[in-house]
Amino acid sequence: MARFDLTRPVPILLLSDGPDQKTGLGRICHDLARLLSTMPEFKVGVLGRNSMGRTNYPWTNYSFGVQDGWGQSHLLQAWSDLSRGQRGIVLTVWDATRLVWFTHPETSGLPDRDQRFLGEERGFERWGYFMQDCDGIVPHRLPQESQCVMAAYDRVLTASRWAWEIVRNSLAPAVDLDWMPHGINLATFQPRDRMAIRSAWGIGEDETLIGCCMANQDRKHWATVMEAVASMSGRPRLWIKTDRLLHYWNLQALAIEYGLVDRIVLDDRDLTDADLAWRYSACDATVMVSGGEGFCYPVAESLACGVPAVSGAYGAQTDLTLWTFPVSGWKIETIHNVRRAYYDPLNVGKLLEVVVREQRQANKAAECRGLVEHLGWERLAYPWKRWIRKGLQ
Amino acid sequence: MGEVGVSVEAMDQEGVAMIAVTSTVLKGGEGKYFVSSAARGPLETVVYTNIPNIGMVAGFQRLYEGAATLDEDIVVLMHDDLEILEDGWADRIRSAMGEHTAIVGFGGAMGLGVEDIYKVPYRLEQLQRIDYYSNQIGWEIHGKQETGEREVAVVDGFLMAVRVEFLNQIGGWKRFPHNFHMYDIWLCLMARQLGWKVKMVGVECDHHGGGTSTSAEYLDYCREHGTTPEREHLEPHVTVYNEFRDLLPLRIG
Repeated sequence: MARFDLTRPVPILLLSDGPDQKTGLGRICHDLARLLSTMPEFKVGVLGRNSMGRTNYPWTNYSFGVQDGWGQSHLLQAWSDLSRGQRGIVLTVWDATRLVWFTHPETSGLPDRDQRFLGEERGFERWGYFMQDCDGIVPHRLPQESQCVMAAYDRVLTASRWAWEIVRNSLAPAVDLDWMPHGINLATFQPRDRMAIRSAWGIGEDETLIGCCMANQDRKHWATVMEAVASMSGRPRLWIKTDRLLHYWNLQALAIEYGLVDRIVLDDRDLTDADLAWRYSACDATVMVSGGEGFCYPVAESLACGVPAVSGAYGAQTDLTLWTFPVSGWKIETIHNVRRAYYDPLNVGKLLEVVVREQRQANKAAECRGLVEHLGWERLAYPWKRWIRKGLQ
Repeated sequence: MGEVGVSVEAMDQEGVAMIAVTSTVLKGGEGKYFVSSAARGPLETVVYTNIPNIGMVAGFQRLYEGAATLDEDIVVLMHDDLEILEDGWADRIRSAMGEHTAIVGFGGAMGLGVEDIYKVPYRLEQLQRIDYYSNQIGWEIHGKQETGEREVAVVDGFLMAVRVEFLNQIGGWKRFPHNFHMYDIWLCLMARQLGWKVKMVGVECDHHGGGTSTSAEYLDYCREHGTTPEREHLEPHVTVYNEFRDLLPLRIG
């Protein structure tokens, strides 16, 4: 029996951050919804967390507020409206830890009607695009909660080969498992005049400028970045792009105690992709110190702008960059029992110095760009569409 | 490669007209393997010499255009270092060339391109053949043995029997801007893109190949044409990589 009625467009509903949100997941949701909308096989909808919607979206946009969790009380209504009783697909673009209710509704406390919709009366396949950013208590295997969720999916797609190996070690061989990177806008993220932003910031051509874009999650280790930069010779400048100064961190206090107050250029506001591209291009290198990443846009975008991205050796960003520093320790973070990496600031600082020196000797723009050129959507659309269409057969 | 000698064979049996041609890529190569292979046809022979050397793909193009002019159905392109050891090979080609088949070879792969092609940065090795079958001497060095016939993703260019109707569709190799490498892969993928099948038949043969692309003649050709052996090797791979994103990785069966 065919999986779907292919004589009509198959309804597919993306469940994720709102496609108009600035989060990485929101951007991914937006790009995938747009890609699916170019495929005549589908009728596309998006149920987006905190989404306002746009008149130019070629899909049906549904939304729910952050106070409504992960959309568990809205999915039935959105799916019923989109599918009109036709069998289709719900494609989630979230971490597995947010989706226990989706795969195991009997544990969710949802009303019976929602549990039946998600359980025995389910009229859709579960497809998941997972930005898996860690293994669990058992190295190279998923945390048990994530494993339990992913095992209940009809199709599992990870955003990196790094995560694919972890998931492969954790799920039964019969599970439809693959991996696929995100696309980025290579037309916007491209090498720009190095001195343009430096001129605006009063940073000289010979000064070293390190860039760091980290926000939102406590796994971003700002203290390690500050200590690493403070340890470098020549007192480099540090461009910071973040969302809040006081969050899981206190950036002002860190800057004072590490003696970097007069070295930092700070952006704690929304920037356009073009703004970011000019800033990346001004840097000699960028750095990412994170306990684990599911894809890592800042690394991909820095490389696309021709600037080496230095990062830890644990996480999906290792699929992208050549410049990694070793893990110096681990911590299991509960309540999801995820493994997080920690790094020695001196190792980070030393690698940054090497990379900056090499960059000065021979510009690595072409080499960096070559590492991510395949991520342009106009190119990546081919393997993405192939994976999507395979699921209809 | 100072000269390219080209032998042309023509036959007309059982209503399917075939023309067999061979490209002699080494100076002084007299097509001795071709003569013995043709004798297993048997085929009448017309020989002409390609001087000045216009390159292998250009030579194939000229031969295809000649075949089209002669109103042939199939043109058989083979390397001059291929020795066919089996009688009746032309009949096997004719038999394998079904209604929807555009190309028949003596060695072919079930797949082309690694699984992660297009998901990671480009490397030439990503365009490798997967599961190669043939009945050539030393088949175990190249892959697996096949004495019958099977549909494949691509055939090896040491022998390609090509339907002239298909070549007419694409204008032969006019759109393939390279001289020596990947012309076989490109042709097979073009056929696949247009809905044709590609097959191999396990005809016993010996491909005395190797060395052509490092020969003095090859280097001379590169010098005379303002190119280099490295460029001649690298650029056709990039062409195939870019042109067939909708097909690769390709798997049969």
